[in-house]
Amino acid sequence: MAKILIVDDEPHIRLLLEEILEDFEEKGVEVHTAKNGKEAVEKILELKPDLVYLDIMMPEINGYDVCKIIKIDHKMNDVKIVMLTAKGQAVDKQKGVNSGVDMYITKPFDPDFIIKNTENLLGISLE
Amino acid sequence: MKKIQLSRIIRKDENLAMINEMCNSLGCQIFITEDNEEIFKYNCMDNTNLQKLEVENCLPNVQIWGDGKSTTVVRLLDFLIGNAKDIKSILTDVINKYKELSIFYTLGEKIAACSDVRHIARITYDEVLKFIDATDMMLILKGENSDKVDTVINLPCEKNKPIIDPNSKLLNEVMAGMEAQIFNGLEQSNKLEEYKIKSKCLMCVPIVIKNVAEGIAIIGHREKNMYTSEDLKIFNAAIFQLILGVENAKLYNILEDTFLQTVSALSETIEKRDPYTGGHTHRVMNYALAIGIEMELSRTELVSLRLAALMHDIGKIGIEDKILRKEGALTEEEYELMKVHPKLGADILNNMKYLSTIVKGVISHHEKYDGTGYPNKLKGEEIHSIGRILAVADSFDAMISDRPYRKGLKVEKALAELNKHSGTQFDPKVIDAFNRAYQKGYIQV
Repeated sequence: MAKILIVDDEPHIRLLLEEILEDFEEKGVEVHTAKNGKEAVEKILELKPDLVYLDIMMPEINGYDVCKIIKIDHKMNDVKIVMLTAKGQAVDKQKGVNSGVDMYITKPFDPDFIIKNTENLLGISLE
Repeated sequence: MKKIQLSRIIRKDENLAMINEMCNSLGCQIFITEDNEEIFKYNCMDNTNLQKLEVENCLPNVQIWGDGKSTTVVRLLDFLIGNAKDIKSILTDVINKYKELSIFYTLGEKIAACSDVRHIARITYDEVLKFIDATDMMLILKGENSDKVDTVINLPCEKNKPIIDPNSKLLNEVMAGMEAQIFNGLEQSNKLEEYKIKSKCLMCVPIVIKNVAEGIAIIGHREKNMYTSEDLKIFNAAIFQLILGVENAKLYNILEDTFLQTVSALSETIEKRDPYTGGHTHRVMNYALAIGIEMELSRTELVSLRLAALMHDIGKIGIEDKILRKEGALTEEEYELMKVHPKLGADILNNMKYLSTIVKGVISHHEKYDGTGYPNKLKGEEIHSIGRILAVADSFDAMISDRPYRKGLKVEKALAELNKHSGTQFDPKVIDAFNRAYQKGYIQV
Protein backbone atom coordinates (compact mmCIF):
# COMPACT_ATOMS: atom_id res chain seq x y z
CA MET A 1 0.00 0.00 0.00
CA ALA A 2 1.82 3.10 -1.22
CA LYS A 3 1.81 6.14 1.05
CA ILE A 4 2.41 9.81 0.34
CA LEU A 5 3.04 12.46 2.98
CA ILE A 6 2.47 16.15 2.28
CA VAL A 7 4.33 18.52 4.57
CA ASP A 8 3.74 22.27 4.47
CA ASP A 9 2.97 24.82 7.17
CA GLU A 10 0.49 26.55 4.86
CA PRO A 11 -2.92 24.86 4.96
CA HIS A 12 -3.86 25.88 1.44
CA ILE A 13 -0.79 24.15 0.00
CA ARG A 14 -1.67 20.99 1.87
CA LEU A 15 -5.24 21.15 0.59
CA LEU A 16 -4.02 21.88 -2.93
CA LEU A 17 -1.64 18.96 -3.04
CA GLU A 18 -4.24 16.65 -1.50
CA GLU A 19 -6.68 17.70 -4.20
CA ILE A 20 -4.14 17.18 -6.97
CA LEU A 21 -3.20 13.75 -5.64
CA GLU A 22 -6.81 12.73 -5.03
CA ASP A 23 -6.93 10.39 -8.01
CA PHE A 24 -4.15 8.30 -6.54
CA GLU A 25 -6.39 7.38 -3.63
CA GLU A 26 -8.58 5.40 -6.01
CA LYS A 27 -5.49 3.37 -6.90
CA GLY A 28 -5.10 2.50 -3.25
CA VAL A 29 -2.57 5.14 -2.30
CA GLU A 30 -2.86 6.73 1.14
CA VAL A 31 -2.34 10.47 1.28
CA HIS A 32 -1.37 11.97 4.66
CA THR A 33 -0.44 15.46 5.73
CA ALA A 34 1.73 17.14 8.34
CA LYS A 35 1.76 20.79 9.23
CA ASN A 36 5.29 21.28 10.53
CA GLY A 37 8.71 19.67 10.66
CA LYS A 38 8.20 18.00 13.99
CA GLU A 39 4.93 16.37 12.93
CA ALA A 40 6.58 15.41 9.64
CA VAL A 41 9.34 13.46 11.35
CA GLU A 42 6.86 11.73 13.64
CA LYS A 43 4.59 10.72 10.77
CA ILE A 44 7.43 9.58 8.54
CA LEU A 45 8.80 7.35 11.27
CA GLU A 46 5.34 6.01 12.00
CA LEU A 47 3.90 5.61 8.49
CA LYS A 48 7.10 4.98 6.52
CA PRO A 49 5.75 6.70 3.37
CA ASP A 50 7.16 6.02 -0.07
CA LEU A 51 7.06 9.65 -1.11
CA VAL A 52 7.19 12.92 0.80
CA TYR A 53 6.41 16.35 -0.64
CA LEU A 54 8.31 18.57 1.74
CA ASP A 55 8.24 22.34 2.08
CA ILE A 56 11.56 23.96 2.88
CA MET A 57 10.50 27.08 4.75
CA MET A 58 8.86 25.98 7.97
CA PRO A 59 9.30 27.32 11.50
CA GLU A 60 11.40 25.45 14.07
CA ILE A 61 12.42 22.41 12.01
CA ASN A 62 12.77 23.29 8.31
CA GLY A 63 12.65 20.95 5.32
CA TYR A 64 16.38 20.34 5.16
CA ASP A 65 16.44 19.34 8.81
CA VAL A 66 13.57 16.92 8.33
CA CYS A 67 15.36 15.42 5.37
CA LYS A 68 18.60 15.06 7.28
CA ILE A 69 16.90 13.43 10.23
CA ILE A 70 15.11 10.93 8.03
CA LYS A 71 17.80 10.14 5.48
CA ILE A 72 20.94 10.48 7.54
CA ASP A 73 20.07 9.91 11.16
CA HIS A 74 17.50 7.21 10.49
CA LYS A 75 18.98 6.06 7.20
CA MET A 76 15.53 5.67 5.63
CA ASN A 77 16.76 5.66 2.06
CA ASP A 78 13.61 4.18 0.59
CA VAL A 79 11.67 7.35 1.31
CA LYS A 80 11.73 9.64 -1.72
CA ILE A 81 11.89 13.26 -0.60
CA VAL A 82 10.79 15.99 -2.99
CA MET A 83 11.48 19.51 -1.75
CA LEU A 84 9.10 22.35 -2.55
CA THR A 85 10.92 25.63 -3.00
CA ALA A 86 9.63 29.12 -3.69
CA LYS A 87 10.35 30.47 -7.17
CA GLY A 88 13.36 32.73 -7.13
CA GLN A 89 14.70 31.19 -3.98
CA ALA A 90 18.25 30.12 -4.63
CA VAL A 91 18.45 26.41 -4.16
CA ASP A 92 21.30 25.46 -1.88
CA LYS A 93 22.39 22.44 -3.87
CA GLN A 94 25.16 21.55 -1.49
CA LYS A 95 22.79 21.63 1.43
CA GLY A 96 20.41 19.48 -0.56
CA VAL A 97 23.08 16.92 -1.29
CA ASN A 98 24.17 16.89 2.33
CA SER A 99 20.62 16.38 3.53
CA GLY A 100 19.73 13.62 1.09
CA VAL A 101 17.14 15.51 -0.96
CA ASP A 102 15.98 13.51 -3.97
CA MET A 103 14.39 16.25 -6.05
CA TYR A 104 13.31 19.90 -6.14
CA ILE A 105 10.05 21.38 -7.41
CA THR A 106 9.39 25.13 -7.46
CA LYS A 107 6.15 26.70 -6.28
CA PRO A 108 3.81 27.56 -7.94
CA PHE A 109 4.07 24.05 -9.27
CA ASP A 110 2.50 22.65 -12.38
CA PRO A 111 -0.27 20.33 -11.14
CA ASP A 112 0.16 18.03 -14.14
CA PHE A 113 3.84 17.77 -13.36
CA ILE A 114 3.09 16.79 -9.76
CA ILE A 115 0.83 14.01 -11.03
CA LYS A 116 3.37 12.76 -13.57
CA ASN A 117 6.15 12.95 -11.03
CA THR A 118 4.13 11.00 -8.48
CA GLU A 119 3.27 8.37 -11.08
CA ASN A 120 6.97 7.95 -11.80
CA LEU A 121 8.14 7.84 -8.21
CA LEU A 122 5.46 5.42 -7.06
CA GLY A 123 5.41 3.36 -10.24
CA ILE A 124 1.64 3.80 -10.43
CA SER A 125 -0.11 5.01 -13.55
CA LEU A 126 -3.41 6.89 -13.34
CA GLU A 127 -4.64 5.72 -16.73
CA MET B 1 -14.87 18.29 -10.87
CA LYS B 2 -14.71 14.99 -9.10
CA LYS B 3 -17.53 14.14 -6.81
CA ILE B 4 -17.33 14.67 -3.07
CA GLN B 5 -17.11 11.53 -1.01
CA LEU B 6 -18.64 11.54 2.45
CA SER B 7 -16.34 8.70 3.45
CA ARG B 8 -13.34 10.93 2.89
CA ILE B 9 -14.88 13.74 4.91
CA ILE B 10 -15.69 11.44 7.79
CA ARG B 11 -12.27 9.79 7.66
CA LYS B 12 -10.50 13.04 8.44
CA ASP B 13 -9.27 12.92 12.03
CA GLU B 14 -10.74 16.24 13.15
CA ASN B 15 -14.11 15.49 11.59
CA LEU B 16 -14.33 11.95 12.92
CA ALA B 17 -13.54 13.10 16.44
CA MET B 18 -16.22 15.78 16.24
CA ILE B 19 -18.89 13.40 14.90
CA ASN B 20 -18.15 10.75 17.49
CA GLU B 21 -18.22 13.31 20.28
CA MET B 22 -21.54 14.65 19.13
CA CYS B 23 -23.08 11.19 18.79
CA ASN B 24 -21.81 10.40 22.23
CA SER B 25 -23.29 13.46 23.92
CA LEU B 26 -26.59 13.05 22.07
CA GLY B 27 -26.72 9.34 22.76
CA CYS B 28 -28.12 8.79 19.30
CA GLN B 29 -28.08 6.00 16.78
CA ILE B 30 -26.97 6.63 13.24
CA PHE B 31 -26.11 4.48 10.22
CA ILE B 32 -24.58 5.82 7.02
CA THR B 33 -23.87 4.13 3.70
CA GLU B 34 -22.21 5.41 0.58
CA ASP B 35 -22.41 3.46 -2.68
CA ASN B 36 -24.25 0.86 -0.62
CA GLU B 37 -21.29 0.32 1.65
CA GLU B 38 -21.34 1.15 5.32
CA ILE B 39 -19.08 4.10 6.08
CA PHE B 40 -20.15 5.06 9.60
CA LYS B 41 -22.33 3.84 12.37
CA TYR B 42 -22.87 4.75 15.97
CA ASN B 43 -24.57 2.71 18.62
CA CYS B 44 -26.23 0.29 16.20
CA MET B 45 -25.54 -2.67 13.97
CA ASP B 46 -27.43 -1.64 10.87
CA ASN B 47 -30.36 0.49 9.81
CA THR B 48 -33.12 -1.60 11.32
CA ASN B 49 -35.53 0.44 13.42
CA LEU B 50 -34.05 3.65 12.11
CA GLN B 51 -35.64 6.32 9.95
CA LYS B 52 -34.23 7.39 6.63
CA LEU B 53 -33.08 10.97 6.94
CA GLU B 54 -32.70 13.63 4.31
CA VAL B 55 -29.70 15.89 4.04
CA GLU B 56 -29.94 19.33 2.45
CA ASN B 57 -26.55 19.14 0.87
CA CYS B 58 -27.36 15.68 -0.30
CA LEU B 59 -24.88 13.51 -2.04
CA PRO B 60 -26.46 11.13 -4.52
CA ASN B 61 -24.88 7.90 -3.30
CA VAL B 62 -25.25 8.56 0.39
CA GLN B 63 -28.00 7.18 2.58
CA ILE B 64 -28.43 8.09 6.23
CA TRP B 65 -30.60 6.38 8.79
CA GLY B 66 -30.97 7.59 12.33
CA ASP B 67 -33.23 7.90 15.37
CA GLY B 68 -34.93 11.04 16.63
CA LYS B 69 -31.81 12.23 18.43
CA SER B 70 -29.59 12.15 15.38
CA THR B 71 -30.89 15.19 13.51
CA THR B 72 -28.16 17.44 14.89
CA VAL B 73 -25.52 15.04 13.66
CA VAL B 74 -27.16 15.12 10.26
CA ARG B 75 -26.97 18.93 10.35
CA LEU B 76 -23.26 18.67 11.16
CA LEU B 77 -22.70 16.32 8.23
CA ASP B 78 -24.66 18.71 6.10
CA PHE B 79 -22.37 21.56 7.12
CA LEU B 80 -19.23 19.49 6.49
CA ILE B 81 -20.44 18.46 3.05
CA GLY B 82 -21.27 22.07 2.17
CA ASN B 83 -17.82 23.13 3.31
CA ALA B 84 -16.18 20.40 1.31
CA LYS B 85 -18.04 21.49 -1.82
CA ASP B 86 -16.92 25.09 -1.38
CA ILE B 87 -13.33 24.11 -0.76
CA LYS B 88 -13.35 21.78 -3.73
CA SER B 89 -14.58 24.45 -6.08
CA ILE B 90 -11.98 26.91 -4.80
CA LEU B 91 -9.26 24.31 -5.14
CA THR B 92 -10.31 23.46 -8.68
CA ASP B 93 -10.02 27.09 -9.59
CA VAL B 94 -6.65 27.43 -7.88
CA ILE B 95 -5.33 24.35 -9.63
CA ASN B 96 -6.38 25.80 -12.97
CA LYS B 97 -4.64 29.05 -12.13
CA TYR B 98 -1.49 27.15 -11.14
CA LYS B 99 -1.55 25.37 -14.48
CA GLU B 100 -1.92 28.65 -16.32
CA LEU B 101 0.86 30.21 -14.26
CA SER B 102 3.25 27.41 -14.91
CA ILE B 103 2.55 27.59 -18.62
CA PHE B 104 3.47 31.25 -18.63
CA TYR B 105 6.58 30.86 -16.56
CA THR B 106 7.79 28.14 -18.88
CA LEU B 107 6.64 29.95 -22.02
CA GLY B 108 8.32 33.19 -20.99
CA GLU B 109 11.61 31.47 -20.27
CA LYS B 110 11.60 29.37 -23.43
CA ILE B 111 10.64 32.24 -25.71
CA ALA B 112 13.29 34.52 -24.21
CA ALA B 113 15.94 32.05 -25.36
CA CYS B 114 14.71 32.23 -28.95
CA SER B 115 15.27 34.56 -31.85
CA ASP B 116 13.41 32.80 -34.64
CA VAL B 117 9.69 33.41 -35.24
CA ARG B 118 8.94 29.88 -36.33
CA HIS B 119 10.63 28.47 -33.28
CA ILE B 120 8.76 30.86 -30.99
CA ALA B 121 5.47 29.87 -32.62
CA ARG B 122 6.22 26.18 -32.11
CA ILE B 123 7.17 26.65 -28.47
CA THR B 124 3.95 28.58 -27.87
CA TYR B 125 1.87 25.88 -29.53
CA ASP B 126 3.48 23.12 -27.46
CA GLU B 127 2.83 24.94 -24.19
CA VAL B 128 -0.73 25.97 -25.11
CA LEU B 129 -1.58 22.35 -25.94
CA LYS B 130 -1.02 21.49 -22.30
CA PHE B 131 -4.12 23.46 -21.50
CA ILE B 132 -6.22 23.74 -24.64
CA ASP B 133 -7.42 21.04 -27.01
CA ALA B 134 -6.34 21.82 -30.53
CA THR B 135 -5.25 20.15 -33.71
CA ASP B 136 -3.82 23.14 -35.55
CA MET B 137 -2.37 26.56 -34.94
CA MET B 138 -1.50 29.24 -37.45
CA LEU B 139 0.44 32.43 -37.18
CA ILE B 140 -0.13 34.92 -39.97
CA LEU B 141 1.95 38.08 -40.17
CA LYS B 142 1.58 40.97 -42.55
CA GLY B 143 4.58 42.52 -44.22
CA GLU B 144 6.22 45.70 -43.00
CA ASN B 145 4.05 48.67 -44.07
CA SER B 146 1.78 46.51 -46.17
CA ASP B 147 -1.54 44.79 -45.97
CA LYS B 148 -0.42 41.67 -47.74
CA VAL B 149 0.21 38.46 -45.91
CA ASP B 150 3.94 38.05 -45.53
CA THR B 151 4.49 35.09 -43.27
CA VAL B 152 2.29 32.07 -42.64
CA ILE B 153 3.38 29.59 -40.03
CA ASN B 154 1.35 26.41 -39.91
CA LEU B 155 1.61 24.10 -36.89
CA PRO B 156 2.11 21.29 -36.09
CA CYS B 157 3.28 20.66 -39.63
CA GLU B 158 3.89 23.08 -42.49
CA LYS B 159 2.71 20.47 -44.98
CA ASN B 160 -0.75 20.18 -43.44
CA LYS B 161 -3.59 21.97 -45.18
CA PRO B 162 -4.18 25.17 -43.21
CA ILE B 163 -7.42 25.17 -41.25
CA ILE B 164 -8.39 28.49 -42.72
CA ASP B 165 -7.39 30.46 -45.80
CA PRO B 166 -4.82 33.03 -44.62
CA ASN B 167 -6.36 35.68 -46.84
CA SER B 168 -9.94 35.03 -45.83
CA LYS B 169 -12.33 37.85 -45.12
CA LEU B 170 -13.12 36.42 -41.70
CA LEU B 171 -9.56 36.95 -40.55
CA ASN B 172 -9.44 40.44 -41.99
CA GLU B 173 -12.62 41.26 -40.10
CA VAL B 174 -11.16 40.03 -36.83
CA MET B 175 -7.97 42.02 -37.43
CA ALA B 176 -9.99 45.13 -38.21
CA GLY B 177 -11.98 44.65 -35.01
CA MET B 178 -8.70 44.26 -33.07
CA GLU B 179 -10.36 41.93 -30.60
CA ALA B 180 -9.96 38.24 -30.00
CA GLN B 181 -12.89 36.07 -31.04
CA ILE B 182 -14.15 32.53 -30.69
CA PHE B 183 -15.99 30.79 -33.50
CA ASN B 184 -17.85 27.70 -32.34
CA GLY B 185 -20.03 25.13 -34.06
CA LEU B 186 -18.62 25.95 -37.47
CA GLU B 187 -20.03 22.72 -38.90
CA GLN B 188 -23.47 24.21 -38.88
CA SER B 189 -22.54 27.54 -40.34
CA ASN B 190 -22.06 28.44 -43.96
CA LYS B 191 -18.71 29.98 -43.13
CA LEU B 192 -16.95 26.66 -43.67
CA GLU B 193 -17.21 26.77 -47.42
CA GLU B 194 -16.84 30.49 -47.72
CA TYR B 195 -13.59 30.75 -45.79
CA LYS B 196 -12.26 27.28 -46.54
CA ILE B 197 -12.32 26.38 -42.86
CA LYS B 198 -11.30 22.88 -41.94
CA SER B 199 -11.86 22.94 -38.21
CA LYS B 200 -15.06 22.71 -36.19
CA CYS B 201 -14.11 25.60 -33.95
CA LEU B 202 -11.61 28.42 -33.96
CA MET B 203 -10.10 31.04 -31.75
CA CYS B 204 -8.58 34.08 -33.41
CA VAL B 205 -6.36 36.58 -31.67
CA PRO B 206 -5.26 39.62 -33.68
CA ILE B 207 -1.64 40.57 -33.25
CA VAL B 208 -1.75 44.21 -32.33
CA ILE B 209 1.49 46.13 -32.00
CA LYS B 210 1.32 49.85 -31.21
CA ASN B 211 -2.37 49.90 -32.12
CA VAL B 212 -1.86 48.35 -35.51
CA ALA B 213 -3.09 44.85 -36.37
CA GLU B 214 0.02 43.30 -37.84
CA GLY B 215 -1.25 39.78 -38.07
CA ILE B 216 -3.38 37.15 -36.46
CA ALA B 217 -2.94 33.98 -34.47
CA ILE B 218 -5.43 31.17 -34.92
CA ILE B 219 -5.98 27.95 -33.10
CA GLY B 220 -8.57 25.34 -33.96
CA HIS B 221 -9.79 21.78 -33.54
CA ARG B 222 -10.84 19.60 -36.44
CA GLU B 223 -13.02 17.33 -34.29
CA LYS B 224 -14.08 19.17 -31.17
CA ASN B 225 -16.53 21.93 -31.80
CA MET B 226 -16.40 24.28 -28.87
CA TYR B 227 -14.01 26.65 -27.17
CA THR B 228 -14.84 28.41 -23.92
CA SER B 229 -13.94 31.89 -22.76
CA GLU B 230 -11.40 30.27 -20.40
CA ASP B 231 -9.70 28.76 -23.45
CA LEU B 232 -9.64 32.15 -25.14
CA LYS B 233 -8.14 33.79 -22.08
CA ILE B 234 -5.26 31.33 -22.07
CA PHE B 235 -4.66 31.53 -25.80
CA ASN B 236 -4.80 35.31 -25.69
CA ALA B 237 -2.24 35.48 -22.90
CA ALA B 238 0.03 32.95 -24.63
CA ILE B 239 -0.10 34.98 -27.86
CA PHE B 240 0.80 38.07 -25.86
CA GLN B 241 3.98 36.32 -24.77
CA LEU B 242 4.58 35.22 -28.34
CA ILE B 243 4.27 38.78 -29.61
CA LEU B 244 6.77 40.02 -27.03
CA GLY B 245 9.16 37.30 -28.12
CA VAL B 246 8.70 38.02 -31.82
CA GLU B 247 9.20 41.76 -31.35
CA ASN B 248 12.32 41.07 -29.35
CA ALA B 249 13.65 38.70 -31.97
CA LYS B 250 12.95 41.26 -34.70
CA LEU B 251 14.76 44.01 -32.83
CA TYR B 252 17.67 41.73 -32.09
CA ASN B 253 17.97 40.77 -35.75
CA ILE B 254 17.78 44.42 -36.82
CA LEU B 255 20.47 45.25 -34.28
CA GLU B 256 22.70 42.45 -35.46
CA ASP B 257 22.19 43.38 -39.10
CA THR B 258 22.92 47.04 -38.39
CA PHE B 259 26.05 46.13 -36.53
CA LEU B 260 27.36 43.97 -39.35
CA GLN B 261 26.41 46.57 -41.94
CA THR B 262 28.21 49.24 -39.92
CA VAL B 263 31.32 47.13 -39.76
CA SER B 264 31.13 46.55 -43.50
CA ALA B 265 30.70 50.27 -44.14
CA LEU B 266 33.66 51.03 -41.92
CA SER B 267 35.86 48.59 -43.75
CA GLU B 268 34.83 50.20 -47.03
CA THR B 269 36.17 53.59 -45.91
CA ILE B 270 39.73 52.35 -46.20
CA GLU B 271 38.93 50.84 -49.58
CA LYS B 272 37.93 54.29 -50.83
CA ARG B 273 41.24 55.73 -49.79
CA ASP B 274 43.36 52.88 -51.01
CA PRO B 275 41.79 50.40 -53.42
CA TYR B 276 44.66 47.95 -53.01
CA THR B 277 43.88 47.65 -49.28
CA GLY B 278 40.18 47.11 -50.01
CA GLY B 279 40.55 44.03 -52.14
CA HIS B 280 43.30 42.87 -49.85
CA THR B 281 41.04 43.07 -46.80
CA HIS B 282 38.47 40.77 -48.33
CA ARG B 283 41.06 38.28 -49.50
CA VAL B 284 42.69 38.23 -46.05
CA MET B 285 39.29 37.65 -44.54
CA ASN B 286 38.72 34.62 -46.74
CA TYR B 287 42.17 33.15 -46.05
CA ALA B 288 41.79 33.78 -42.32
CA LEU B 289 38.40 32.08 -42.26
CA ALA B 290 39.75 29.08 -44.13
CA ILE B 291 42.51 28.81 -41.52
CA GLY B 292 40.05 29.32 -38.68
CA ILE B 293 37.76 26.57 -39.92
CA GLU B 294 40.72 24.26 -40.32
CA MET B 295 41.71 25.04 -36.74
CA GLU B 296 38.16 24.15 -35.70
CA LEU B 297 37.36 27.48 -34.09
CA SER B 298 33.89 27.87 -32.62
CA ARG B 299 31.20 29.86 -34.40
CA THR B 300 31.70 32.81 -32.05
CA GLU B 301 35.46 32.73 -32.61
CA LEU B 302 34.94 32.60 -36.37
CA VAL B 303 32.64 35.62 -36.20
CA SER B 304 35.31 37.55 -34.26
CA LEU B 305 37.97 36.42 -36.71
CA ARG B 306 35.89 37.61 -39.63
CA LEU B 307 35.31 41.01 -38.04
CA ALA B 308 38.99 41.33 -37.13
CA ALA B 309 40.00 40.48 -40.70
CA LEU B 310 37.59 43.07 -42.10
CA MET B 311 39.00 45.67 -39.75
CA HIS B 312 42.64 44.69 -39.58
CA ASP B 313 43.91 47.49 -41.85
CA ILE B 314 41.38 50.16 -40.85
CA GLY B 315 44.22 51.99 -39.14
CA LYS B 316 45.64 52.80 -42.55
CA ILE B 317 43.02 55.52 -42.80
CA GLY B 318 45.34 57.52 -40.55
CA ILE B 319 48.34 57.11 -42.84
CA GLU B 320 49.13 59.94 -45.23
CA ASP B 321 48.54 59.43 -48.94
CA LYS B 322 52.16 59.89 -49.88
CA ILE B 323 53.04 56.84 -47.83
CA LEU B 324 49.82 54.87 -48.19
CA ARG B 325 49.59 55.23 -51.97
CA LYS B 326 53.28 55.41 -52.76
CA GLU B 327 54.11 53.71 -56.03
CA GLY B 328 57.52 52.45 -55.02
CA ALA B 329 58.87 50.61 -52.02
CA LEU B 330 58.86 52.49 -48.71
CA THR B 331 61.96 54.05 -47.20
CA GLU B 332 63.01 53.16 -43.66
CA GLU B 333 61.36 56.29 -42.27
CA GLU B 334 58.20 55.78 -44.27
CA TYR B 335 58.08 52.17 -43.12
CA GLU B 336 58.30 53.28 -39.49
CA LEU B 337 55.35 55.63 -40.05
CA MET B 338 53.36 52.84 -41.69
CA LYS B 339 54.01 50.57 -38.73
CA VAL B 340 51.64 52.72 -36.68
CA HIS B 341 48.55 51.43 -38.47
CA PRO B 342 47.80 48.44 -36.21
CA LYS B 343 47.74 50.76 -33.19
CA LEU B 344 45.60 53.33 -35.08
CA GLY B 345 43.19 50.55 -36.00
CA ALA B 346 42.94 49.52 -32.36
CA ASP B 347 42.28 53.13 -31.34
CA ILE B 348 39.41 53.38 -33.81
CA LEU B 349 37.91 50.07 -32.77
CA ASN B 350 38.12 50.82 -29.08
CA ASN B 351 35.32 53.31 -29.63
CA MET B 352 32.89 50.48 -30.16
CA LYS B 353 32.15 48.36 -27.13
CA TYR B 354 31.17 45.40 -29.23
CA LEU B 355 34.33 45.47 -31.30
CA SER B 356 36.73 45.81 -28.39
CA THR B 357 37.07 42.04 -28.30
CA ILE B 358 38.73 42.00 -31.67
CA VAL B 359 41.07 44.89 -30.87
CA LYS B 360 43.70 42.48 -29.61
CA GLY B 361 43.63 40.63 -32.93
CA VAL B 362 43.85 43.79 -34.99
CA ILE B 363 46.64 45.40 -33.00
CA SER B 364 48.77 42.27 -33.14
CA HIS B 365 48.50 41.29 -36.81
CA HIS B 366 52.07 42.45 -37.39
CA GLU B 367 53.56 40.81 -34.33
CA LYS B 368 55.96 37.95 -34.96
CA TYR B 369 55.92 34.61 -33.26
CA ASP B 370 59.52 35.06 -32.13
CA GLY B 371 58.87 38.44 -30.53
CA THR B 372 60.50 40.62 -33.17
CA GLY B 373 57.30 42.15 -34.50
CA TYR B 374 55.45 45.39 -33.80
CA PRO B 375 54.05 47.37 -32.06
CA ASN B 376 54.58 45.53 -28.75
CA LYS B 377 57.15 42.83 -29.53
CA LEU B 378 54.75 40.17 -28.25
CA LYS B 379 55.93 36.58 -28.41
CA GLY B 380 54.28 33.21 -29.05
CA GLU B 381 50.99 32.75 -27.21
CA GLU B 382 51.16 36.33 -25.92
CA ILE B 383 49.92 37.25 -29.36
CA HIS B 384 46.17 36.83 -29.57
CA SER B 385 45.23 33.81 -31.70
CA ILE B 386 43.37 36.07 -34.13
CA GLY B 387 46.54 38.11 -34.57
CA ARG B 388 48.56 34.98 -35.27
CA ILE B 389 46.07 33.87 -37.91
CA LEU B 390 45.86 37.31 -39.52
CA ALA B 391 49.64 37.48 -39.70
CA VAL B 392 49.73 34.44 -41.95
CA ALA B 393 46.74 35.46 -44.07
CA ASP B 394 48.02 39.01 -44.41
CA SER B 395 51.55 38.01 -45.39
CA PHE B 396 50.31 35.45 -47.86
CA ASP B 397 48.21 37.99 -49.67
CA ALA B 398 50.99 40.56 -49.63
CA MET B 399 53.35 38.05 -51.21
CA ILE B 400 51.09 36.93 -54.03
CA SER B 401 49.76 40.42 -54.87
CA ASP B 402 51.24 42.50 -57.62
CA ARG B 403 52.68 45.85 -56.56
CA PRO B 404 53.62 48.71 -58.81
CA TYR B 405 57.27 48.00 -58.09
CA ARG B 406 57.28 44.19 -58.15
CA LYS B 407 55.14 41.33 -59.31
CA GLY B 408 53.50 38.97 -56.89
CA LEU B 409 55.01 35.60 -56.08
CA LYS B 410 53.53 32.41 -57.43
CA VAL B 411 51.37 30.66 -54.87
CA GLU B 412 53.74 27.75 -54.39
CA LYS B 413 56.61 30.11 -53.73
CA ALA B 414 54.54 32.10 -51.28
CA LEU B 415 53.63 28.87 -49.48
CA ALA B 416 57.26 27.90 -49.32
CA GLU B 417 58.11 31.29 -47.82
CA LEU B 418 55.40 30.87 -45.19
CA ASN B 419 56.70 27.45 -44.27
CA LYS B 420 60.25 28.75 -44.15
CA HIS B 421 59.26 31.24 -41.49
CA SER B 422 57.12 28.87 -39.47
CA GLY B 423 58.18 29.12 -35.83
CA THR B 424 59.95 32.42 -36.31
CA GLN B 425 57.59 34.89 -37.90
CA PHE B 426 54.56 32.67 -37.81
CA ASP B 427 52.85 30.30 -35.38
CA PRO B 428 53.56 26.74 -36.61
CA LYS B 429 50.04 25.63 -35.75
CA VAL B 430 48.61 28.32 -37.98
CA ILE B 431 51.01 27.44 -40.80
CA ASP B 432 49.97 23.79 -40.54
CA ALA B 433 46.32 24.77 -40.75
CA PHE B 434 47.03 27.00 -43.74
CA ASN B 435 48.82 24.15 -45.52
CA ARG B 436 45.94 21.79 -44.88
CA ALA B 437 43.38 24.37 -46.02
CA TYR B 438 45.37 24.94 -49.19
CA GLN B 439 45.61 21.23 -49.91
CA LYS B 440 41.88 20.90 -49.46
CA GLY B 441 41.39 23.68 -51.97
CA TYR B 442 39.94 26.18 -49.54
CA ILE B 443 42.48 28.88 -50.28
CA GLN B 444 40.92 30.60 -53.28
CA VAL B 445 43.45 32.87 -54.86
